[in-house]
Amino acid sequence: MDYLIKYNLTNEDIKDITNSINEEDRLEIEMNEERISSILNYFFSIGLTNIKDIIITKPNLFYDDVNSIKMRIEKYSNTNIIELLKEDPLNFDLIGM
Amino acid sequence: MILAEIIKSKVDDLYKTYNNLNFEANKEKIESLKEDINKLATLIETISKDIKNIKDISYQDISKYISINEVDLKNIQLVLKAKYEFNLSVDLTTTQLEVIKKILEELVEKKNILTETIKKEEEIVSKNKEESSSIEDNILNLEYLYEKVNNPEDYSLLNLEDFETLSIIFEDKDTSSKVKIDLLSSVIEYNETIEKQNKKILSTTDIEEVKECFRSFDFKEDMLKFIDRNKEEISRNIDLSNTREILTFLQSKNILDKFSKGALLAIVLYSNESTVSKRYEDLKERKALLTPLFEIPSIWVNNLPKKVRVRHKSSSKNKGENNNYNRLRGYASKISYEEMISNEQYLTSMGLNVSISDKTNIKVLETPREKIDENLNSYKLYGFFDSRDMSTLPPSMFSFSKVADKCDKLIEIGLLHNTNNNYTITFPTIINTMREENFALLSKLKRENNKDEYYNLVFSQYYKRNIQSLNRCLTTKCSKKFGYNLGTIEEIETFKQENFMDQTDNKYIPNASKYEEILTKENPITYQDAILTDEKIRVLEEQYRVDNNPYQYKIGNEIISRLKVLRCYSSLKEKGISDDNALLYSVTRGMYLDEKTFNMLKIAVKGRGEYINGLSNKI
Repeated sequence: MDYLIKYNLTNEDIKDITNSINEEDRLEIEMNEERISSILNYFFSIGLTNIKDIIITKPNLFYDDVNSIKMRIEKYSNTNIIELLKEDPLNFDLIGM
Repeated sequence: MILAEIIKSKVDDLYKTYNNLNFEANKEKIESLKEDINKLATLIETISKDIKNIKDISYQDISKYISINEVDLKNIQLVLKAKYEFNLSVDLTTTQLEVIKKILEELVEKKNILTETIKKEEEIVSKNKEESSSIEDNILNLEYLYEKVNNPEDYSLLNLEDFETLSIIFEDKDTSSKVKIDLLSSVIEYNETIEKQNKKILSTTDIEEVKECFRSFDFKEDMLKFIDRNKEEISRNIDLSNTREILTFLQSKNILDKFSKGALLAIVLYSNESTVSKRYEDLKERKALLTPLFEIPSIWVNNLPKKVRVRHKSSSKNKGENNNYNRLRGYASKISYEEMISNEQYLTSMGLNVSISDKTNIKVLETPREKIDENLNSYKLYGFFDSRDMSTLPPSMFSFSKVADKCDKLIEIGLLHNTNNNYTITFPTIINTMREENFALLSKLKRENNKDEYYNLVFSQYYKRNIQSLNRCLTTKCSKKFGYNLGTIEEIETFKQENFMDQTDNKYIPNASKYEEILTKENPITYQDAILTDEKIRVLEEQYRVDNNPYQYKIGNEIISRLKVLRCYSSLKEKGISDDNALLYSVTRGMYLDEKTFNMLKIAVKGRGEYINGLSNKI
């Protein structure tokens, strides 16, 4: 998961993530650098920089395609969902993600 | 005889026995007997109600069941017709009355005999059903083993589970000694042959050769680095000729560059050209060659249906082997394509937003159906679907583990189905993300603070704006939480030891460790309704049930998950354990209790509701 360093995560952060998520989720993130990077790039582009919290809280998102994630978030673009997601990634539950 | 032949011969024998277990005839006989009993019951009732009714019953109807003199019956019927239809002044003789009495007695006796016969037939049917189910299981297990030993591409040795299957043959008294001897020697021969052929065990491949192979297919530095990161597993398991066949095939179909690195490596290690090409043709025919499928290696590997996969998966874990050396194997064997399709249909039919083609909510699609169903039942039991439409829920929640146990804890810390708070219904992901030490911490805080103070600690400032957001230190890894050091495993253990007792310790509840072993094994997701009539449970229901809340008992100031108690106690009772200790364990299981609270609960449970409620301003 060392590639996560480019998203402003420290080695300590990566260690925390590794210890917080289960083996299956770890494997998914380790095996799919390109796809995970595209998702993280999208999150950064919309202002979601709390990457470590998102990975730990919602590892299921990282099994999906970035376009699918984009579509589901953009459906709520006329709400304050981005602000809520910045405050707490658990707010993904409000939009069924 | 060789191993495969011996197994096949046994399977054939089992099929013959299975087909001969025809209990349809018994079932038909039972139905016919039931009809006769009904007719007898009608006859008996008719005659008992008023003996004059016998004048309208035919000789054939009665003689079908008992032996009677036709002339006697006709004479009786003549007298009764004369008396009741023609109003003549005649009466039955004493002898004739005796005949009618005897008819009734014999009809009753016949009915009893037929009832006994039905009981015996039902026992035969039940026994045959059991036997046929056992034979079905044996056939299935032997057929899977037959496939394994007959598969020239399967290089795995016979393992413990395979030997358990072979015991079906060994332990059968009808198997001849010669066959048993042949079986033993063929098993030894089979494993020796596999060992000789098994390149994975005997040799490793130089990782530079692997990289050279991939270079020859125009793979660049990023793939070579990926290979380096997984070199231990790759060099032990790769077959370069198999790898070249797969890569050549994928290249010929112009899809080689569509696969993710991890998926491709998993496929070349654990699949073969035949499986890959069959899958390709199958997907092409269905017009389902979708991009997401190039990232899911288990679709391109011959993954057996779950029952067999669970059986054989355990055989791939060698003792002492580091799990990092089997990552790609785990990645390649998550779930079969057929199961994913089935999950997609199932979950979509429930209104959930899942899609293989759009790669949406893939995690739950890769979850075994048994787990999805277990979770569905748990969420139903814990009222998630009463409060929220299923289509609005995050599908990932159907992939979580230990859902029922977590819901119990969330109820007990006031975050689920509490009068003041139902946070978990809105944010069900907390079931998966709440760290165990936070359950301990919140249990302590809840006891030490009043309701408002507690929730002000639990929720961040945004709580006041009616946006419920858990305090950050509860959702992220913080070393210090509310004045307690909970950063390292050692600090967490110290916190638990200093603040809570351990109710799984037999010194607090005799046999607690045994109860826990049973409950861990049985993993009860629901409870038997009959448990509500249990005397001990009735006392809890009367004394401690919270009004209008089917999820809680309240004992003193403690909220106890009612469903936890019912599930656990019901499960223990099914095992023949229903004493006070079992109930106390069911009440306290999974909770973080100080000694004072534990003793309070003990008095309440064992004292049959004698505990008086404590202070009223706590939650």
